[in-house]
Formats: sequence, C-alpha cells, structure tokens
Amino acid sequence: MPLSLFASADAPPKTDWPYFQKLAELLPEPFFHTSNFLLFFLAVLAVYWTIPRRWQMARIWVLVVASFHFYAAWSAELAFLVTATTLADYLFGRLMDATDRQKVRRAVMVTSIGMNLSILCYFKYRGFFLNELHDLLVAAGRDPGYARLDMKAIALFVPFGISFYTFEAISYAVDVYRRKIKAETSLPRFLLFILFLPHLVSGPIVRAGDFLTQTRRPKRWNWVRVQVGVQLLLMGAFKKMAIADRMAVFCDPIFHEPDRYNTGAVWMAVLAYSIRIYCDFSGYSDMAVGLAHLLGYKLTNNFNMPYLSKNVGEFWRRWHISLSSWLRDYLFIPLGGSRGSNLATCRNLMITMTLGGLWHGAAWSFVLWGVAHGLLLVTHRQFAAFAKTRPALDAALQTTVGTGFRILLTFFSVSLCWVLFQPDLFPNPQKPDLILNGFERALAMYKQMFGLHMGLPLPLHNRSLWYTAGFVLICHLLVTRGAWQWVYDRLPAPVLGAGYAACLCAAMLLAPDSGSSFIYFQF
Amino acid sequence: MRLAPSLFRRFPSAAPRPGWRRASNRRRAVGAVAAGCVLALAAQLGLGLAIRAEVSPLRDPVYFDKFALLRTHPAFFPGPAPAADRPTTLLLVGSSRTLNAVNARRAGDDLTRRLGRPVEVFNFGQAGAGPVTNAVYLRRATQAGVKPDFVLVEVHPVFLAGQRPDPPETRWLLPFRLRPDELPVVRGMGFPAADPSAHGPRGLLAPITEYRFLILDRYFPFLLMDNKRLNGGHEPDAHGFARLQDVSTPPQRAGLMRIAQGQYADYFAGFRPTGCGVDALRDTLRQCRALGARAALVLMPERGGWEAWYDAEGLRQLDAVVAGLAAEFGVPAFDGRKWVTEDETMDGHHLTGPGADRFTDVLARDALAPWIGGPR
Repeated sequence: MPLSLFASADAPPKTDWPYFQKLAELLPEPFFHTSNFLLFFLAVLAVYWTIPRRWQMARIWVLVVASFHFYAAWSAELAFLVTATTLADYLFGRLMDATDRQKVRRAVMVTSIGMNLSILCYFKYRGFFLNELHDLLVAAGRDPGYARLDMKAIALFVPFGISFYTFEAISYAVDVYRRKIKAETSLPRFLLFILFLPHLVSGPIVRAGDFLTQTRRPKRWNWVRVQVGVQLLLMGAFKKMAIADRMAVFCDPIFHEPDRYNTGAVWMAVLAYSIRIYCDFSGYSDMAVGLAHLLGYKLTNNFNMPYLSKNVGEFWRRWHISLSSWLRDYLFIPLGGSRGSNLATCRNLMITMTLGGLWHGAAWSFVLWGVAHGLLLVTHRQFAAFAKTRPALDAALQTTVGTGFRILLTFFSVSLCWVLFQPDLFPNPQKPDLILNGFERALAMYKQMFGLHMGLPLPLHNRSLWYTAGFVLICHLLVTRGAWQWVYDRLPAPVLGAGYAACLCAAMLLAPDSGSSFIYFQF
Repeated sequence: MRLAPSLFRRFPSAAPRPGWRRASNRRRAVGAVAAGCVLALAAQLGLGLAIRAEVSPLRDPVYFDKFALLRTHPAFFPGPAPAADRPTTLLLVGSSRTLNAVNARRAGDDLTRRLGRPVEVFNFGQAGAGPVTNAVYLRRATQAGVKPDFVLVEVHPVFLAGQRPDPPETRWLLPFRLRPDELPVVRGMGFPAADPSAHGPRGLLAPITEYRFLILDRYFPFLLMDNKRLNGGHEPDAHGFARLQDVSTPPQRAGLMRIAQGQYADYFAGFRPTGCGVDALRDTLRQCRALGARAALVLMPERGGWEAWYDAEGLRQLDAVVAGLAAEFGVPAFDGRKWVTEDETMDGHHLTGPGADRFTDVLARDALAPWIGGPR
C-alpha cells in the first residue's frame, strides 16, 4: 500500500477575521464536554428561555445564530460553507414544491443531492480518489511526481459533521420529492434543521419530518425535560471522559504501532477499542440528545445497548440507529431491499454496508470494514434461514446458553471488525516507524492477534481495563433487564440529585490528561 | 443455566404515569436537578476550600505527608523556649538520592554514640525535589515551626543545569503544588512558574478536575491507569528514609541506568551549572543562616559512568560553583560521589539498602561527626 499522499489536514485553516479569531479563543474546541462549551451553552440557554414563548421565531433565530457561532469558532469559512449549502437546499426544496412537473422535481432533487455529494466528495474523498489515481499512474509508469510536493500544505480539512448534515440534506430532498413532507417555507426553521448545534457535528442524523414539526411547537420550560436533559448530559460526559478517554490511553499506542506489542496486549487493545468507540460515540449522542432536551427538542436515540445484540442484524438496529435507519430507508430499500431473491438481497446488503463503510472514512480500511459487516450480515441471513429448517438447532440457540453464545459471538465479530476501523495517518517525523495506512495497520494488528508474538506488554496496568469492561457490562445488563429503570423510578429526588452530582464528579475525576476528541467528529 | 437470576431478572417496566402524578413528577425533577446542582457545587467548593486552607493535603501531598512524619519528632519544633536536654537536630533536604541514601535513624544512632550526646536526624529528601523544591520546602517547614540545629543540603548537579530555558525541575515542581505566595519566590530564583489554573476560580469551582491525579493517587490508587504512585514507591520510615531493595543485578542495573540517562539526557549535553538551581541553593543557605542553623552542602553518589555523561567543562564549573557557595556562606561541602561502589546502586545514583547503610556510616563518620562535633 502506498503512502497517503492526500491525507486530510490535522486542523482547519486559521481565519483572517478578527471577530472569528476572538470567537475561536473563547470556544477553542467544538466539544460538548469542555468547560468553555458549557459556559457558551449556558449563555445560549439563558437568552433562549428569556425570550417569551410567543416569540418562537426569535428563539429559533437565537439557536441559528448560536449554532453558526459554535461552528464558526472552529472554522468561520466552513461555517459559511455549511450555511450556504443549507440555503441552497432550502431553495431546492421550495423549487420542488413550486412545481408539479415530475421531471423538474426530479431534476431539482438530483441537483440537490449532487451538490451535497460533490461537496462531501471534494472535502472528504478527494484525497482518497487522488491517491488511487496517483497509484494507478505510478503503476502505469507515469509518476506525476506528487510525492515531491508539500502535501501537508495542500491538504484539506474535512469539515466536522459533513457526512451527517449531508445525509440530513439528502433525506430532506428525497422526502420532499417523494411528497412525504412539504418543503419548509420558513428559512430560519430550515437553517435550524441543519445547523442545530446539538446534532450539527456528529448527529444523530435527524429527519426533516421529525425535526421541523418540533420547530413549530412553542416551547415551554419543562422541568421533567430539563431533568432528562441533565441526566443524559451527565451520562454522556461520564461515558466520554471516564470510559472512552481512559480506554483510548490503552488502545491508541497499540493501534498505532501494533508490531511492537505482544499478542495478549493487542487482544486487550481490541477489547479496549470496542469499549472506547461505543462510549465515545454513544456518550456524544447522549450529550447531543441531552442538550436538545434542554432546548425543548427531542432527537433520535442513537444507541440501544448494541453489545448485547444476539446477531449482527440486531447490532445494526441498536448501533448508530439514525445512520442505519437512514441507510435502510434511502439506500437499501431503494436498491430493492429484501423484496427480491436471496441473491439480490445479499447484493443490496453488501452495497449498503460497503457504502456505509465509505461514509465513515475515506480510506480502504473503512471500505473493508463496511464489506466485513456486509459479509457478516449476509452470513447471518443465510445461517438464520438454515437454522429455521433445523428446529433442534434453533431451539438450542434460543436457550440462555445459546443466547449467551450468540451475544459473545456477535461481540467478538464486531470487535474483530473494529480493527479495520482506522484512518490513514500523516507521516510523523517523531515516529518514523508508524504505519500510515489504516489497512496496513489493521493487517499488522491481525498478524499480532492470530500469531503468538512476543513484544511489549500492555503499556499501562490492565486492572483499570478490566474494571471498566466489567462496569460497562454490568450497566448493559442492568439497563437491559429493566433494573435501572426500576430503581430510578423509586429513588427520591435528593438521592437522584446526589447521583447526578456523583456522576459529574466521577467524570471529572476519572478523565485522563490526554482527553481526545470524539472519534465520530472526523466522519 | 441462568446468570445470577435474582440480580438480573427482568424488572417490571414502569407503568404509565397518570395525569395526577404530573405535578409530583415535576416536583421530583426540580428536586433532583436542584439537589444535583447544590451537591455538585458544594462538593467542588468544599474540596477547593479544603485544599486552599491546607486542611486537605492535596495541594502537595508529598510535602504534607513528609511533614506529618516530621511532626512526630518534637525535637525539630523547639518553640520559643527549647528544653535544655533537647537533642541536637539534623535535617537533610534533597532529592530521591538523599531519600534513598541516608538512613537517618542509623545516622542518628551513630552520631549519638560518636558525639556522646543525643542527635536526631530526619531525612526530608523527596522524589523529584531539586534545589528550588528544597528551598520552598525549607521555607514552609520553618514557617510551621521547624528549627533544626543543622541542615545538610544536597547538591544535585543535573538540577543546576542552566543551558536550557526549561530547568529539569519543571518536570516535577508543577506550579499547582506551590502556594500562591510561593510563586513570586520561585520566579525570583529564575524558575519559570506560570500562574496555575488551580489558583484561580477553577481551583474552587472544579478542584476535582484540577487535582484529579492527586485524588486518585491518594484515595483510589487502584484506578490509576499506569499504576505509578506519586511517591514512586518511596515509602519512608519514621525518620523519612526510604529503603530500596537489597540487591540490584547487573542487567537490572544496566536497564535502570539507561532509564536514568534518558531521564536527564537533555541536560547532560553542554551541561553548565548556571541555572536557577544555583540561586535556589543560595536561597536555602540564606534561610539556614537566618534561622541560625548550621548548613553544609553534599554531593550524593554518582557511579557507573555518570561522570562521563556530563559535559567535562560543566563538571569543572560545578566544582567551582560548590566551592564558591561554600566560601560565600562559610559552610563545608562534602563530596560523596565516590563513597559507594557501582554495585551498591540501583542505577548509579539511587542506593540499594546495604549501599545506603554503608553510605550512611561513611557520611556519619567522615563528614557529619566532625562537622556537628566541631567548633562553630
């Protein structure tokens, strides 16, 4: 595999506008669990709820302006780009609604989708495709000499959340075209649909039908909702700071240089990565949903105890639910879904999952991750059909032992796939031995995992890893069996409040020094 | 087979709440959110205030723990009217070299026997404590009533390095360990100490974040990720001495030597003893003079190639600096760098248990007894 010539830039370009420079100083990171963001959000919340309920449009404008500033603090230019494409999508929607001519409507929808996908491809997949082109030319003996250029200087930064808001805009265009919803006539409402700060950078991917209706309802301050919001915010912060970031300290060094570590350490790093990616993304989603609740909005729940899934199909109904349902509704079903022959269904599954993999990142490792999940889904589908014709086998699989085995097998398969879930890296002069290509790193990981290799042990004490894994498992079981809700419903308010305080303090206490950004921000 | 059925049995889902319960739901939500906010704020503020008032030792646990040990030796706290039969007191200040090298109880017994009068020795050496830290610690201790008769001050050559803008001590003496009024003092010595966020509002509103490693280290060590305790495993005895293992094998020593060399590698190249450490040493000697305590300087053992790691010109300058300080303050300077063999060290500068015993004996016999027993 060749060097990643056109890898993405590490940081967005610095803006020249003093106003946005000042903003960037106030809000240096677009992460929900930072104190700067919390102060910013508290200010937004105060202004938002101070505006009388009858001035709903003013409240919407406050949220639009706040969301724009939230994004612009990180990159003003890209904030204007997102706003401009949102305006274009709004106009495309209005155009579609303005005519009954199917051909025109179709052309407008295609234009809207084409514009969104072009921007996505330019920022996210340009490097990937140029790399492949470069390699093809080199293989054909026509080296274009890109390797002599300063690739870091021409690298583009992938705007945070571009994949998320692109999918939201596409689903809006398709839904308007299919007349599932009417085109939004109010510009601020439409701007809020795309720019709403809780879901702007990493989802959940909201549907226009769900969200725009909410913007029409005047919001009342609701203490129960506030409680739910605070609770989700705290839970998300705990997952991110106390679990995901701690697990990152375990797995990152090994995922970067797997060939230096022994087999046991690499397996433990895979376990740590599985926990990390779940707590990182579900923690972010919890915070996003919690923030939305505080503003009186309800976002889709994105996770539902995915590691207790009994098969890969169920895993995808519980993992990143807003994406998997999007892929189902706007890709799998239009491709024919499971209505055709078995072969056609398997083909549709493979296409959907491969594109789903590519959606996550512009690298072969992500494509192969999607392919691997497609193969798992196809295999499960075939096995389920086979098991149905063998009642004894089917019955054995439904027992407690059989169910436990299926859960373990699903977790094991999903964890093995996570090894592929790695981006390409830029060369690091301090670490010349670093494997830059994500796929090559994954291969090195597999080599260490499935051969008995000596090497360095886990870089940190593994006791903390086992405690965390045990804690996550117990929480999964308590929630799934309903014990959590049962206890929650019976706790008196002061005890519940003490629980919130304890959760906050634990998150702050257990956060490691190297708090990392959210993994899904890069998608 | 069911796993712990009583614990993980399916719990009945909550029944839908009737309308009359909405008000109670609201009350519960308000109560929970309000209680959460109040308790979280109270916890943070309480801890922040406790740290500021030094009711909690979290500001600098290594100091406060050692100081608590020193408190068990009343002879070091003579007060305004010291008892006539008070033993002669000797306080050792220095880094982990001192901490692991001088068996203070053994030295005290030896000196008592040699001098024919009671001598009490306390080892106030701390892991990572260079001259700036020692100057700060001596200042704190004297403010708290410590008044030793003699002070033996370690000279750690690497900590005097001044050829780089970041003194080696910046790795250990993090500004949040200092009291606000100590910041100008260390800056005056030339030590770069930025205002730590823990001294500002964050220290009151979010001390759990600011002091999280210290809290984990002290109260939840099993949650530390790298299993490395703050004191580096240096658990001192009642006289402040931390004894290392008895034997260090050549391969073990070679590995630890590599680590030691790597730890200070940036400061060996072009070594010049011109850093803030020299000013800090001068400050310590000045404090001793103001206190009426007799001071002496000591260079602790360095074996197994340490000499070769330093820049040769820098080493020559080091001798001049130590001699200059000794002359300036009229104090003796003991050079103990070659008083033990390489086999008696763990890594060329931290001594094994028997190495420490032998070093202590030599120190007491050849340096401390003549100094303490000699004329003022």
